[in-house]
Amino acid sequence: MGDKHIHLDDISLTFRVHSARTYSIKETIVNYIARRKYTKPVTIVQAIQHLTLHVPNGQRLGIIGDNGSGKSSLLKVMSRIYPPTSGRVDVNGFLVPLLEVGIGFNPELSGVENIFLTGAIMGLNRRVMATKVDAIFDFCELRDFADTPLKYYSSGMAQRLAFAVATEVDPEILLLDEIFSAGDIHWMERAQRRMKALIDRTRILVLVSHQMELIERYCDRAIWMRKGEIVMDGSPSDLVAAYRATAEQAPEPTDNDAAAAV
Amino acid sequence: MQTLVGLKEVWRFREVIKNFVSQDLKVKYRRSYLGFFWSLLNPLLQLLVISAVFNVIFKFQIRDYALYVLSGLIPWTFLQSTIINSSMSIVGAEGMLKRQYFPKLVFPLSIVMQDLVTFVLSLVVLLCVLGYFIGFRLSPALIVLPVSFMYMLFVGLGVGAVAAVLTVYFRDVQHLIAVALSAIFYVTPIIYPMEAKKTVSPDIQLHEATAEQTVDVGPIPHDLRFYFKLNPFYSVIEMFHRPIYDRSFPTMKEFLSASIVAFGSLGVGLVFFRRFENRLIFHL
Repeated sequence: MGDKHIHLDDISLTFRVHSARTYSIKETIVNYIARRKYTKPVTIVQAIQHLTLHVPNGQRLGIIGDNGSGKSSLLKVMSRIYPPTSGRVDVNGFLVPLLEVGIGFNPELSGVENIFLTGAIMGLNRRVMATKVDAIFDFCELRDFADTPLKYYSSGMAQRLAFAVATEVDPEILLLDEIFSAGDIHWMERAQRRMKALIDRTRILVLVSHQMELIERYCDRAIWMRKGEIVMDGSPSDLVAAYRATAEQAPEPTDNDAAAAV
Repeated sequence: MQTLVGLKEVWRFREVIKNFVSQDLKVKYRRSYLGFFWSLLNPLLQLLVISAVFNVIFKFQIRDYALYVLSGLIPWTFLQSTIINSSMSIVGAEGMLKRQYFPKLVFPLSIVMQDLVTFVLSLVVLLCVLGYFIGFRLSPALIVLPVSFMYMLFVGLGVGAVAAVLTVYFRDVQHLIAVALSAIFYVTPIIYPMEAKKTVSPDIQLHEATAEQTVDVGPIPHDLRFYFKLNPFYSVIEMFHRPIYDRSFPTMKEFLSASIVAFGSLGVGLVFFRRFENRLIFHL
């Protein structure tokens, strides 16, 4: 229990980006017979290169860097979505990756059923989720639609429900890829307050954001990534200042953009 | 060993599997008046069609034949549906897999569980409702059935897991599987018997004229039977034919070959799956 942490030791992550991800059997057989390796161009993208990072209990880590610098890939390695090509990942604690809301929502199922489904996917059983259903509907104000299939929700309603479910859990490690909140002003304000409460509850926070003021507000440590490596590690205010300085000098070449798309 | 560690991980995700199964059942039967009864009616209606065809065209004796067909058709339907659905299970979960970690075996395993529910319901029909009309009698050989179920699940999961991985790499596999399965259906004794010995089942008369003289009037030429018996699906289906239709225990040879097929496909399937599991995410 006690010691929550994220330890990444000498992590590398390499993608082979095929121009089309899958091959037809015909192509493969033809290639095999003709002893060709690949007919389609394969780009090898080094998303993360020999990265070592230790996040101890209680830390709020912000990650900044240009598009394609490997920030999101790093979050996906931490959450085990991407197994690293080499290196060791050691995560201790109940980890919730909020990389995008609304995972696993099934449009045919009712709001309540979707709450249980999402809970299960995040690792919470029915009993635990049952105690949270009320709070979720209180927050998103959709109690009247609890038994309506999700496909009859407006997109705004579905988003509100997804956000409410995602932020009702009690993570020990919270991974955030941009702080999302969309909707009318009344909703935005409440959503931000709720997100703040979630961030305060979690033992460890890892936040990827292009909004520097968020990094400065929520984090007590920051790393700056470029081409899959950490180029600077320190206090958020120092890093933000340094990062802003380079941005004003010259825009970075974005040849690594392919990594962001993966 | 690696594979066993993987299975422990899957167990931690049992809540997800439970949810996938119950959501599938809810969605499948929502807005249909007969709901769950479709699971029961489906094999019955299928049987009606097959029986009608074979009774009118091939002049099979129908009472006995219905029991024979159903006892093979129900496990076959399970295998077919599981393998086809499993092949799409990981490709279909792309959205979830990109946002949250899952042991990938959760997806084919959920399919197996979903189809198991349908299977059990269908089998209940066979044993109770039809049994009453056809004159199905309880026999001690029925205690083999739990083993038959287990073997059927092993084959479904093993083949399904391999199909799921292959489909990620080659999307054409889904079409190939459907074609291959329909071919296998016809070379597996399900709608026709492998053997039709007069002494064993005097009701089956394939050719009325020759039935009196011949000992074995099964439709498959004798010199081809050996090859038919190599069909791995055949040995699993026989584990249902024997206790339900023949009211006899499978012979030691049949039992052994079914065991080899079951444990073989499960073992190969899981090891294969484990080997590719971690690379799948990069190909979705």
